[in-house]
Amino acid sequence: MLDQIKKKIEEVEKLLEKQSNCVELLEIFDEVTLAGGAISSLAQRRTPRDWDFFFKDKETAELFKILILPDNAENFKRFETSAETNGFLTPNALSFPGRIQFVTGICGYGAELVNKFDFLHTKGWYTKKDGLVVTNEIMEAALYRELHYKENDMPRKAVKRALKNMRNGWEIELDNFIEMTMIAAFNKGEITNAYASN
Amino acid sequence: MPTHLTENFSRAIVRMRRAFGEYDFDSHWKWGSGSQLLVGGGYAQYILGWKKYARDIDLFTISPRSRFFDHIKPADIKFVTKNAITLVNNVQLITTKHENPELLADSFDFTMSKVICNLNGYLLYKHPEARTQYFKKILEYTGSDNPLGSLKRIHKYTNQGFRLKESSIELLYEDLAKCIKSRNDPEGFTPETTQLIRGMYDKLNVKVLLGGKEIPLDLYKEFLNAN
Repeated sequence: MLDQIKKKIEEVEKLLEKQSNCVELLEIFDEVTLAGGAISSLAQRRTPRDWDFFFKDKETAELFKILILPDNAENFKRFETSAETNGFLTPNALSFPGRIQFVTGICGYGAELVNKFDFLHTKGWYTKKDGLVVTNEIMEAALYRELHYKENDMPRKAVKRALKNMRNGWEIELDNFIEMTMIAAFNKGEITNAYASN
Repeated sequence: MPTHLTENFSRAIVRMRRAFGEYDFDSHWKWGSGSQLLVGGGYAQYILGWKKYARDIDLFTISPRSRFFDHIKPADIKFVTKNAITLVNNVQLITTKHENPELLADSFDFTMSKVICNLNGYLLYKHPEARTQYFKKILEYTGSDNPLGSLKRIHKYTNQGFRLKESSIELLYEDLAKCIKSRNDPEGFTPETTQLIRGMYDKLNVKVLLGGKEIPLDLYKEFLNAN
């Protein structure tokens, strides 16, 4: 698992080097957190759908965007990359070939970042400084495909994700499902875009 | 009206005979037809041959109140709630009353469940979308006085691969919010889940002190958002 992560980190570093000769890009990348579904997928011995990297704060995310994107890059449009295929820009993320995604809509570092996530199985994280941080509970939830909702800022988004995952064979206890949906019902102000609450 | 007196229906009758073993069920059944005892939802889907198995039989009545209900012996009653008398053998008599089969179907929370038969196996009402949605595994929530019960069913059906329609979710949230505000007594849950729901009522019905008066937190949040 750790080998796969390190291999991917090297791949991203090469991509960044090719994309721009600016050394600050690599310095920024040294402090990103790999988190989200990738670690859960690796725990299940599946290929991650996306490798999500998060910046420590909004300012760093903004600087990264300016440094790496071509001047004509626009939201919801493709942009040229150093690889054969193009990248894609949205208000919340920059996607690169190789399922690499830099999330700009939600920021944080390590534990502080994953505390904002909704389900236990997504709370594993990796940074160059701290390595892979994942508990037995997180691994078990991922392995047995169990959803455990932890209250966060976007319960409505969590409900949608839970319904989708349940159809794909994940399980969530009725009590936890009721709790999550009741919280969501009372959370009218939630921004519905993924990663947009920050 | 087309008849759907299928094998499934015969099995239903056999089960009901068992459930009312101590009585002359057939005479009740005749009364049932006369006083319009109806089968709705999951068991009607079973009688129509849509599904292969249904555990619970929900029997409904349309006004005037069926005489059938007056002949239940206490020994046959498993438990009684505000809207239903649950008998042994998973037969449930729903005590809320409706004017006609269509209005009865209207009171069901999911489109695919809006199917009503009578005890002779006649299809009395079927929502035009019910069959399609059932077979396409689409779950369309259409409103309920008991959204917590609907939530339980959403959990069950999603686990079976049904997809809750996007447009239904907002309505579900609205009904749930009303239910939370009015602290509807949860029915049909285990004691643990009932306790959890009551705890959630306390947690979500938070009030803020404003000018010495208690204001519901969500109302105050709406006020802040609007300003």
